[in-house]
Amino acid sequence: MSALGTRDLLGVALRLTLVQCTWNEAGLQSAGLSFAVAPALARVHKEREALGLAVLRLGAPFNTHPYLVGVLAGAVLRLEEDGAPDEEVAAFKRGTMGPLAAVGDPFFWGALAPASTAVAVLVTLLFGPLAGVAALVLAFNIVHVFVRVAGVAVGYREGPMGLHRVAGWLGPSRTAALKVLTAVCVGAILAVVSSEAGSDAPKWAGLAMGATGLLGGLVVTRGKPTLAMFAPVVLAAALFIEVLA
Amino acid sequence: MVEALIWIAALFAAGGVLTLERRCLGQMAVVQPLPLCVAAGWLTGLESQGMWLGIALQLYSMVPRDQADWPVSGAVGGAALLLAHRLRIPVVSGDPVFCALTAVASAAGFLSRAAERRGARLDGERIRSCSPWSAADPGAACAALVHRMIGKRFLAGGTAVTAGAALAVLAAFGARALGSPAPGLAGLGAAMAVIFGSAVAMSCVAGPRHVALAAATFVVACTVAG
Repeated sequence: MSALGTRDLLGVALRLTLVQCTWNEAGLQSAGLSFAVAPALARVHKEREALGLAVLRLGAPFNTHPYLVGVLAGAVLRLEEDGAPDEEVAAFKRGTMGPLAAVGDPFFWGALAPASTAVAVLVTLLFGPLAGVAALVLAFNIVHVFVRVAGVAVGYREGPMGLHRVAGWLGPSRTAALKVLTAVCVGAILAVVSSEAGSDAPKWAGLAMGATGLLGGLVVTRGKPTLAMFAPVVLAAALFIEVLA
Repeated sequence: MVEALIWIAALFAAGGVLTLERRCLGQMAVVQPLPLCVAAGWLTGLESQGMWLGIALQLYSMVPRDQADWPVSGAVGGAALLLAHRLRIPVVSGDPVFCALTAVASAAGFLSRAAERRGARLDGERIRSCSPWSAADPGAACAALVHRMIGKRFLAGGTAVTAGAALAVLAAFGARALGSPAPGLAGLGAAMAVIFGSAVAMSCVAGPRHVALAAATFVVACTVAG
């Protein structure tokens, strides 16, 4: 019989939304993780002394992808409930936080966020802003909320093995598919914007704009994508062309 | 005077709550440039301007998240649109005022992120010297730390959005003073903002084969659209 029920696990998932709130250079996410699992740990460890030690074990610096911290928290609760030794819990946390971040960052930040943004912008241009906002919120959150909430349950039910299952959900093939979706949407965005901007101008102007966007993307694919830092410069250039030309 | 103070307080409160969403309240990615600017455009009757501002900032938000705080950019963009409407500064999609608002809003995201990084360093030093783990009840100490950080982030977000919106409005006044767009070039700014945003998007996800795929889609879509 498990010590934690669905309600406890949902409570952990809800509190884990605050895990980034206390991020700092000393403990990284450790204070947020402790805050999230402390009520559940109190149900696992009935004795005050054991509870205090369990919370202290979470004090070591800890950092992983914020959306995947749920599965790790669930697995830690399983280890605590099974009475795993201190070293095993600490080694599990230390050994899995890096690989989990390595799975989560490319999927969420490198693929899902850009894909949902590109889809939302295209939907906005084609069907209007309300449809675009709905697309943005739904496309990102259906996946992200599922991983956050189900991750805690899978981690608690399956223990350390649950990490493999959750990592499998976010595999490289899905990341690659989302990147292809982003590229197709960006091409379509360029076509829509170029056709609208070129309505008063010669036809080649719209094509040149689209080609410029693609070329810009190609130029920076090999470097770190810090291109948006130049946004104010590009907009200032547009301002001066408009006024001074 | 009273109305100005009410505006400042409202912007501060709204900015604080909105920017909390990114790190504290839910993290559902609802507070993004596109929803915020569309909402501001809807409130002011400037739907088209809000949409183009939101699209440009949303595309810029595809750069890695350690570089800029795009929810702050979106909140600054939306707040600036509201203020410009209140101060009767005309905004047309792509005109110099629009470019100035977009530029200041995107710059605010980078500055806010830099300030947050510095804050995290200072927090780390404080926590090293007074760790919650050395308290009699570490669980309660962590909860107190979480509550304190929520308050701190609310204040930081409110300050960033209020200051950013004020700067954006000043820039809008400056851009208006420069003059009107040359004939035939009105709207260039909106197109450039989005074209540039598309390049940012490609740079985020793409290898050369993704660029080729986008190019193929571009050509097919242009052909279909005639």
